[in-house]
Amino acid sequence: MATLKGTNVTKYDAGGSGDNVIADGFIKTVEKVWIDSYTITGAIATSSSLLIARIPKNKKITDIVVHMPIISAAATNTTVYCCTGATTSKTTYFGTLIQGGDTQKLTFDGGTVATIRLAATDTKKMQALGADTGIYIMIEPATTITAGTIYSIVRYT
Amino acid sequence: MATLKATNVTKYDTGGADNIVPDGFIKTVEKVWIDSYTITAAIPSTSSILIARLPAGAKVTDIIVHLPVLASVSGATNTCYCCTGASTDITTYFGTLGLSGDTQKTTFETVTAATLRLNATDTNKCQALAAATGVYIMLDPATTVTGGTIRSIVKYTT
Repeated sequence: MATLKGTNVTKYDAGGSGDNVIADGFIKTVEKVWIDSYTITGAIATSSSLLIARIPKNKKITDIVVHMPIISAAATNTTVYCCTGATTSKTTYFGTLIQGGDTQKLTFDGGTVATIRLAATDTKKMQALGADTGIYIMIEPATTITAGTIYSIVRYT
Repeated sequence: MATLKATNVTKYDTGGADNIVPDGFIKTVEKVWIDSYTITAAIPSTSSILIARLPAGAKVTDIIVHLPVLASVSGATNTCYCCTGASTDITTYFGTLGLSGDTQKTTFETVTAATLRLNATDTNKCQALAAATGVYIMLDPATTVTGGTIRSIVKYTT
């Protein structure tokens, strides 16, 4: 049985020094969290981004969890994009948050509560951020319910 | 492009004495209470399992419960209520745990193992607990197996 090693295991087993130094925040570290909430008092347009956390440079994001209240009429297919800037250009977003643990389920029913989280398709997770970074979400289509609270947790090392 | 700011981001960006973010919300670490309960006899729906004790001020960020097989006959479904007191009054529970992968699915098949976690409907998550609080689960209907181990993780900040 062959054993393949992850990048940091390889460095660790090789001594963890010199060319094999493992940067801070990758092994034997703890996660930090930014917990936040947003109380909905008016419809949220798709041209608005919600800023849910500010993460310092060099941090590695390990998870993003957003608990959504009912935001639309029943059976409204809803998508939540997650990005590092306030923009309406979806191509600049680094991921679509997915429902539960099904990374292929990129939309959810806005007519019921939903827990959505970082997807496998996100390309920025677990990598050092190049600069201080805001984490934004954009909801599409615009919400129609004007009540309820969005709760979010961003985890990072 | 408009930017809406969540509550703590707003305080963080504004600064000043009126905008202090309380401990345990930003730039903080999670603690965990890991526990287990070995099933040696059927658990009636009149019994609550106390899986964690949290201090006043703690903010619950997640609750994960790994359930073993709870019934030997397929087709039976179960609901796991999560509460802050030992009670059989379902209305006093602060949430039903959702099946991991689909937190809107609050019932699960008892003939297979299941992982449940905090649901979006829970109204106590991410908010400071007013007092020292026990976290309980109640299974409905009663289990019929007399073996296996329930393992749980409660994540919170202080």
